[in-house]
Amino acid sequence: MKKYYGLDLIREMSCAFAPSGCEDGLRDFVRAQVEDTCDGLTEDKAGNLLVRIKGRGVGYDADKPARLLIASHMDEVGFMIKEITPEGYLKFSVVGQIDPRVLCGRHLRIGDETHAVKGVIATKAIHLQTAEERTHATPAGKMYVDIGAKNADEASKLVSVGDYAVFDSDFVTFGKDDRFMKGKALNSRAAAAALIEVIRDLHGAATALPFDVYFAFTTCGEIGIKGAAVAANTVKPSLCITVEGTEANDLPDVGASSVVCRLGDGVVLPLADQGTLFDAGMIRATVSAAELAGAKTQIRRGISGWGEAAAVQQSMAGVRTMELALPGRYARTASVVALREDYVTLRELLKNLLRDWKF
Amino acid sequence: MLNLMKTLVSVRGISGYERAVSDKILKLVVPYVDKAWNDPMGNLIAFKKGTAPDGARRKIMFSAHMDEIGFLVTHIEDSGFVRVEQIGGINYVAASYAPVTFDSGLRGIMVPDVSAAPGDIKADRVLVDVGAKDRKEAEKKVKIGDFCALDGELIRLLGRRVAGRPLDDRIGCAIQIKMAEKLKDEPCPDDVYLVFSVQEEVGLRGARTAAFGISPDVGICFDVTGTGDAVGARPMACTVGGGAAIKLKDSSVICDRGLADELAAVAKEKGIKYQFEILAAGGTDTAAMQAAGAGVTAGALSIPTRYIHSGTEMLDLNDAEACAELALAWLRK
Repeated sequence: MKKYYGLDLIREMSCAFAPSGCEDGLRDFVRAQVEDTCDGLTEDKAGNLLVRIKGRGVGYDADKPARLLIASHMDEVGFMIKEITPEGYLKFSVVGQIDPRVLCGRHLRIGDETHAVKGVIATKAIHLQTAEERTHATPAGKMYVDIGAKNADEASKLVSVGDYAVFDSDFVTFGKDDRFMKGKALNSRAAAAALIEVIRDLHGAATALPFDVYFAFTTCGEIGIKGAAVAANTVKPSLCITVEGTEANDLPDVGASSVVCRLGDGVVLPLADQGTLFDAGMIRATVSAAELAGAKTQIRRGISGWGEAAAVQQSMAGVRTMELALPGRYARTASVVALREDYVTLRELLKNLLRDWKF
Repeated sequence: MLNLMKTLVSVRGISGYERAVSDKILKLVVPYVDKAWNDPMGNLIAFKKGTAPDGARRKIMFSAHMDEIGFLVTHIEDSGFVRVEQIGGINYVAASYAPVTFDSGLRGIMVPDVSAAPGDIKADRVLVDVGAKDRKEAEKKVKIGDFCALDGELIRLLGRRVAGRPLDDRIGCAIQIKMAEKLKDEPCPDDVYLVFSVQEEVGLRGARTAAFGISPDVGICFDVTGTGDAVGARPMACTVGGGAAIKLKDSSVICDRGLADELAAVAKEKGIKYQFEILAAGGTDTAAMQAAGAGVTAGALSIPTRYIHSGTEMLDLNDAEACAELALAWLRK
């Protein structure tokens, strides 16, 4: 399989068909990107891909090596077809959390990673809605997918109940100097892409770390961080860095004191979310390292959300955990927007932290 | 007990940032135990070996949490006011106009939007006034990522009753420190792990991992519980001064009934004042210990407390001492 780098890698990852529970195709892709540049990879029972870079040199205990886990989830929010109507329309369930207001009129790809059929999310036109219906967003349960089938028979030849679907969204760059990127699942896929590039760099630089690094590409992050919990118990690390996307709300109507993070202000370091209080020592060391390297970081000004770190921090007898996040606007919609330079900052900061380990 | 509590409430340490409390407790407990250490999450574990021979010693874990509810600094306004996010379940109305202290030692007052109706007081309308002229002046003394908590306080009421904060759960920590003192002179057969846990207020997180690491046979939690004797309180047969409260259940756990019955039997036999406790709402480290690893026989001895998580809590030191006495008597039976 072809190897991808930089923007092309992000494009491939963003466009991959991998909603929670359907990560096989993306896992194969990631495997192919890193299998030549690591010291072994395995898959655990939750379908997580675990890529190891061995430690060596001063302080490395070859019999009982210490372990650092760096985890990023592969999956995206999506849909599952639950019914084919007599007229050939599809009813669906949402996989993960999606605001129903972002669904009307969206293009979908229905199927799996090997084949997909195109469709459009349909709802009743406004002039046909009752007064009551008009006062609130149509819930997902009342929406349909139109795949252009005449009837259930025709539809059944194209899709089946249980098929997955994802937003059909191109990856594009835009804005001045093409600084901005847009794609589905962009900031979490770009976070995973950063891990791929860091694996290659770490392997190539032959850095001597006194511990093994396990990069985990986890499953089912969007539906309750299930994969990360299993990865933690498989790897049993003493330290963990989770790398995810985080929602940026630097929008016109949002007051300055309510903006939690901004595109362009660099890698986001959360202090806490609803599931985790991150390790203050690791955060301090990272902020210092970033300052020395001239890398932009921003502390997230808000503690909402629930990332993968919670599952790892509270696994076994506890794991010191920190999160590095790529800011992205409009998370869990068809058009997540992030900055190319923030991606580069994230990738380079991770490389720096590993090359010049201070924790 | 009174002086010990004065010391313990004077240190600030919110969930995730308990280091100062841990350091203080370590100094107090280390003369009496065999070993003390902090685990990866920051739990302070003090270990006292039992007198029974190898293989005949059970592992008994006690847990009291070090963290108090508080606030993380998320933004400094141009005006010099400090914006915070709450950590743990705080009653903002009760915290309004309360003095707070930051980890740096800086003092401030928690202030709501003065035009807000009491019902509207929420996180986004509460700020800390540190007396700064503007952002620049504030930034000299406080930065994003610092924390603050309501000032500690302990005042004597009638009898051996006290009011102040954070009684939840420095009183539990005090009980464990007193137990360490007693165990030094009179050890018990089993191995005892006195865990001063972290991050209880945000989901029992420290006790969960500490219990996994220790893998105890029995776990007993010391924490405050509500009472039925405050003005307008929900009916509850648990009162301040009614003795050590043997927990039967709260909203996070159904305690091991056999253990609860054992504790009651020991209390009766030794003439230690006790009562039973069923708390309608509220969770404790007990639940985290019970479901850790392959499971632990879990229970709790609670200190009946009025006005939990408000600006000022109130309890009877006699009840706390009864908890310590009962736990020690149970260990030695």
